[in-house]
Amino acid sequence: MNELDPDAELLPRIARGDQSAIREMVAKKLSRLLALGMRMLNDRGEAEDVAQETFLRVWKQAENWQSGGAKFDTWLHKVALNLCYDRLRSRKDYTDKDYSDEDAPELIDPALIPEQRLDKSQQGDVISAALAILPNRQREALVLQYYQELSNIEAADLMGVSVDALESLLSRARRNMRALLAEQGVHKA
Amino acid sequence: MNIEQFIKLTDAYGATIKHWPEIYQHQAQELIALNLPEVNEALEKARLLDEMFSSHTLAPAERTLFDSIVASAPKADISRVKQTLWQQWNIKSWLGVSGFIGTGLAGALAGAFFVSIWTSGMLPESIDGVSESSGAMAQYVDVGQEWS
Repeated sequence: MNELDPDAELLPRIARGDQSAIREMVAKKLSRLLALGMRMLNDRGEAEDVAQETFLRVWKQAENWQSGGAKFDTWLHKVALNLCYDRLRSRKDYTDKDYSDEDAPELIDPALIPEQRLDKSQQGDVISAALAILPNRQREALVLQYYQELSNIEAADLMGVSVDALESLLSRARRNMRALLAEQGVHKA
Repeated sequence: MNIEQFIKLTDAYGATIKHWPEIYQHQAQELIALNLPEVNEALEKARLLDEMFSSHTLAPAERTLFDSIVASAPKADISRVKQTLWQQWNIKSWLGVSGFIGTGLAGALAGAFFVSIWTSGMLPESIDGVSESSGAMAQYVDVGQEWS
């Protein structure tokens, strides 16, 4: 068993069809995968499809998993992210362009009411909409570092960039989010 | 860590220092403790945004999704388990049977040796008693014959 990777010990048991290990893995990872998919795709149905597809890959990989390499959770995120990008690329409005602050497009419904009248759920909707129009790589950086709570090294590794490049993407993501939310009157510029 | 570096890191990682890379956390706390206006301003700006981010909560996964994912997992291969059990049983039973046969053979050899000594007239004194008792057996048989 790899002490640094608490998920790895479940994999040989999963490969043998051990139902308790399978249930434990799903219980541990489903919410995380669903959150990743939801925030990357802004579509619950697609996020659920991504989660299911990711687990199918887990079942296949379980027998061949080699401890000592990448952490299982990092591998899991990589699989899920690839599936998210497959779906994003199939969308008509997909673009690889990484908007600068000036390029950030018009946000959400301009009729949205200002901050003092927004309840928690409406605030959440505004965040969803803002995340959805954030450039893909900025959104990915923010989701991995802030919401998925991956370390900067793990997030940079997953994205195939240096830590400096990750920090730059994070700064731009936060700046854009601040501007987009201010535009909606839910955040001070 | 200087103020400029602190502001740059706050822009990237937000106001919650525990979300920062570990190597910067201690130095950042030291700088915060100095209560500098630029540092406080950067932290406050980042904190407001963090609060907005944290309001983005998601509904938990539904039970049906959980169940369908569990159902998609590999099942234990029953035929393989049966085969393994059969192989284990075969090994154990073979060991048991061979032990039994071995004991039986040893007994048969000992019996054959005993009979060969007895029939060749090399029996010691004590063995004659056995011969007499065989006479008693003959008497018993005779008694039986009287019943008929």
